[in-house]
Amino acid sequence: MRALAELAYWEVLFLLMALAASVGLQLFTGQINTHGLFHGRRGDGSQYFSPERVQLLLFTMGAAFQFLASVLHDPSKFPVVPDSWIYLLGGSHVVFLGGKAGAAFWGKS
Amino acid sequence: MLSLLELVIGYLVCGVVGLFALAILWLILKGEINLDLLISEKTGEASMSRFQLLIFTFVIGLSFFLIVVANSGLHAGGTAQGGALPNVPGGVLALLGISASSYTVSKAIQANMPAKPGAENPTAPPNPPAPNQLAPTGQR
Repeated sequence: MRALAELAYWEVLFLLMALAASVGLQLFTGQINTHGLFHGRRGDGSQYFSPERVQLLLFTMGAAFQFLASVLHDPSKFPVVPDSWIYLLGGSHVVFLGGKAGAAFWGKS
Repeated sequence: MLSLLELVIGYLVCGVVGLFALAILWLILKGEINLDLLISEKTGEASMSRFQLLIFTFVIGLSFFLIVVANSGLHAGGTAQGGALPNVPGGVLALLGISASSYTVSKAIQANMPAKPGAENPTAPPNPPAPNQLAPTGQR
C-alpha cells in the first residue's frame, strides 16, 4: 500500500509541477499573451497605464508568497489567514475594480 | 482478498490518472491545447483579474496537496492522520472568494462597458476559426 501512496504522490507532484512550469515558461517567453496587462481601457476606447492593476499584482504576489511560505513552514494544516490580510487584499481588489469601473463608465481620454 | 482488490483498484486509478496527466501535458507541449489566450480577454488584451485568479488557484491547489501529503504520514516529518482531507479554514475561503468575486465583477464591468464606434482594439488577434471553418466545404 505504501508503494501505491508513493506512486500517487509522485504522479500528482509531477502533474502540478509540470503544469505550473508549462504556464510559467509560456508566460516568460511571451507565448501566453501578456500584452496590456497593466493597461486599462476607457469607455471611449482609449488605453491608459493603470496603477491599480500594478498594486493588485503586488498585493496578490505578496499574499500568495506569504501563504505558500506558511504552508511550507508547517504543512500539517492550512495557515490561519489574519483578518488584516483579508482586508488588505479586499481593499486592493476594490481599488482595482473601482478604477476599472470608473474608467469604463466615466473615463475620458 | 479485499486488500488485494483495493490495491489493484488503487493502481488502476493511479494508472488512469497518470495517463490523463501525460496526455494533457503532451497536448500542451505539442500546442494542441493552446494556452496563448489563457489570461486574455476577447479583445486580445491580457486581464489582471484572470491572472490573479490563476496565481491563487495554483497556490491553493499546491498547498492543499502538500497538506494532504503531510497528513498522510507518507514522508518523514509528516503527522499521520489517516490521510483525511484537511479542514479549509474560513480565511482561505475568503482569499479565494475575494479573488473569484473580483474576476466575476470585472467581467460584469466589461460586459456593460458602453460600446463606442471605433473602440475595438485593432491590434487584437482574431478569434480562432471554428473547426468546421478550417477546411473548405466538401473536403472533410
